[in-house]
Amino acid sequence: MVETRAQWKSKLGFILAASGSAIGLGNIVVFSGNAYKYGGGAFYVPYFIALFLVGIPIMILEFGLGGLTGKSFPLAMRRAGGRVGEFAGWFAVLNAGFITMWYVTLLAWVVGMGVGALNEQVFLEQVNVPWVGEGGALLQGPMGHFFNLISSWQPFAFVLAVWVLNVLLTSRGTKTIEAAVKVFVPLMWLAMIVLVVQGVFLLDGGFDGVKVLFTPAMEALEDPKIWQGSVSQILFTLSLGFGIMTAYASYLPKKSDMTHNAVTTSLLNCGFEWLAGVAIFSILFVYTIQPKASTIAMMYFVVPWGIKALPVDHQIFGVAFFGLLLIAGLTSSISLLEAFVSAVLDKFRIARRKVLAWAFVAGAAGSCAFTLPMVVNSTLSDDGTLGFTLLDIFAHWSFDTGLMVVAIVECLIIGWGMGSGRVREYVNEHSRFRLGRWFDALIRFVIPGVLGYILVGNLLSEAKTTGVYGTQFTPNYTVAEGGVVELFLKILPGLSLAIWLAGTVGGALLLSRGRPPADEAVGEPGGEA
Amino acid sequence: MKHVMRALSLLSLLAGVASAQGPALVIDYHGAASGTLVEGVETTIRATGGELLSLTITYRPGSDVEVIDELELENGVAPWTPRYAGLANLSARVAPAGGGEPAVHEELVSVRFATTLTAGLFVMLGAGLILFGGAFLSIRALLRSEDEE
Repeated sequence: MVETRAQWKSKLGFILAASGSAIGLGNIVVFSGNAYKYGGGAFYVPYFIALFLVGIPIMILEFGLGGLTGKSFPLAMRRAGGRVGEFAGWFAVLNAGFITMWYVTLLAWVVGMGVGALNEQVFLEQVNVPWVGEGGALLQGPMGHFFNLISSWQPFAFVLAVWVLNVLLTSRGTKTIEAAVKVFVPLMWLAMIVLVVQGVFLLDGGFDGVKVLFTPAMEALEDPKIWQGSVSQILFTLSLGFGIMTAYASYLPKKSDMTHNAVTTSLLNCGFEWLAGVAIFSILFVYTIQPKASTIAMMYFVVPWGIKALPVDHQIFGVAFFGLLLIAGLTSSISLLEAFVSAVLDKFRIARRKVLAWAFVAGAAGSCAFTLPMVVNSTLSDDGTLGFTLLDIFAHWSFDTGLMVVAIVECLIIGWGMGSGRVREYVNEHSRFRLGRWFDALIRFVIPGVLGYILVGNLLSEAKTTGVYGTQFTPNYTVAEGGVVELFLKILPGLSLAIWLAGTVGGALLLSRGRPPADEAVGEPGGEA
Repeated sequence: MKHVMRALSLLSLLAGVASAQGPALVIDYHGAASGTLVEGVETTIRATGGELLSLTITYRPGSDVEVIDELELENGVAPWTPRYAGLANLSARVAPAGGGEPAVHEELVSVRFATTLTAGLFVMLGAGLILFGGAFLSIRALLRSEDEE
């Protein structure tokens, strides 16, 4: 049965969904850590340059492609660059599939920490972690609870619960997603505003913390790392290179103003990040806690330790903080899942519930692998458990490398294949703000050049220092000594890379075979085909 | 996600626990800033339970723009006038009172600003204005185009 393609019920619904997708765990904790690391307010100079020269143009490109073609990412890319384009599109969606798996694991750990906040384990002064060091070590409450959590089988249950939530929230496509984001996204903003009020207005010295965050140390601008860091931050924070924005924009009416949609989504995302920086830094400064440019450390250790010090009921605040992380993560993970589901529906016209069932089985299996609790490093100089080590390696390939590759390739294929001018003309037709030829220059030359420089630089530096990512890890626990386990740990980095390549490159080769259905017979991603 | 996902090393995890043991640093506040470290306001630092041998201040510790100062000691006391507001790490070598090897004692402190109007305030307001002002104008343009449709 041929049905019409689903559409968002309102522009607000789309903006909430797109900004909800972009606003995730990284926005809440990573921006302030990066700003602290890279010179405080000085970080905003390259950050804004990256936002306006890289982030927003790619966002317009992805929205424009979705609006112009009315297809999810792989088939939209096929329009732009033929079979090679479709291959790149599937690579992006499958790469996003790997990201979804470990992202759900992070959310499962968030649930576990939320439970720990509820029973106050997270807020204990010290928690014994029996496998750390020789005969155990006493760690600060959040750290101790976290390492005890990831070395247990408990997160398996949380992984399944988070996957069930994801499937339910995408079960009817745009209908359920829109209903969810209309509750979740305002709730996220509200929770963040409460944190800002608590940190800035109710804590003596909180405002000084905010000024510290934004005080520029201009000498930081001389370091190329700050420029690389800000470009990476913008690319990742805006959810670019996942295929999500193209899929979401394909559910908009053809005449939508994609330029203002892209600008609104990007600025709301970065505005949320600004607000999160204000909230978190005020608390950390008052309680003299050093921020870390690390998602894990900020999310699970640093901010909860700050919450413990607050002169409020830290149990309620702790649960609310992890609840905030969970809903921010869910609005992102459902968009990741939808990018995949809509791509399969568009190409193969299979019932949505079947695609979701497959995605659930494969996704939950992958997420469970990232929670494997076997201890492989008792000094914590690496990641501690097998699951965490796997997560680290897969995140490196799919997130640090894969997204950058997708962003470069999509700019090249659309810029030189279809022609970015075509997207620009389409976008200009329906927007008051007209993009000039500078947009084509950015898409065809500047962005691929800048991202290519960063990517090649990173890979070369890695090749010189560590080799294949993960080989620098040093398992030291008795379980790792001798026999099959030791061998397994030795081949783990290479094996992980091979699995990632097979899943993305191999999968994309398979899925891009064959012709897509004719335009008029595209299945309806928003409902049952 | 090198340096992003990884856990902290055990040593840094345990730093907070270790610093609670052994000799301690005492900050003597002077003048109006009593009880609070303020940029540009002099304090003195001494050790209890041992003799202070050296004191190093690291401003913005753990960032790429760390600034390190070695303080001069006067009779086992270090006069310190914080150069920058923000977080600062005090790293002291202290010889235990009962003899034995000197130990390194670390302590993180927050230094507040001396004035309300700072560069940070203007950057914060400027960035907020660009982000939220821009988002407001963009949403308004979107709603107008919706009306036209």
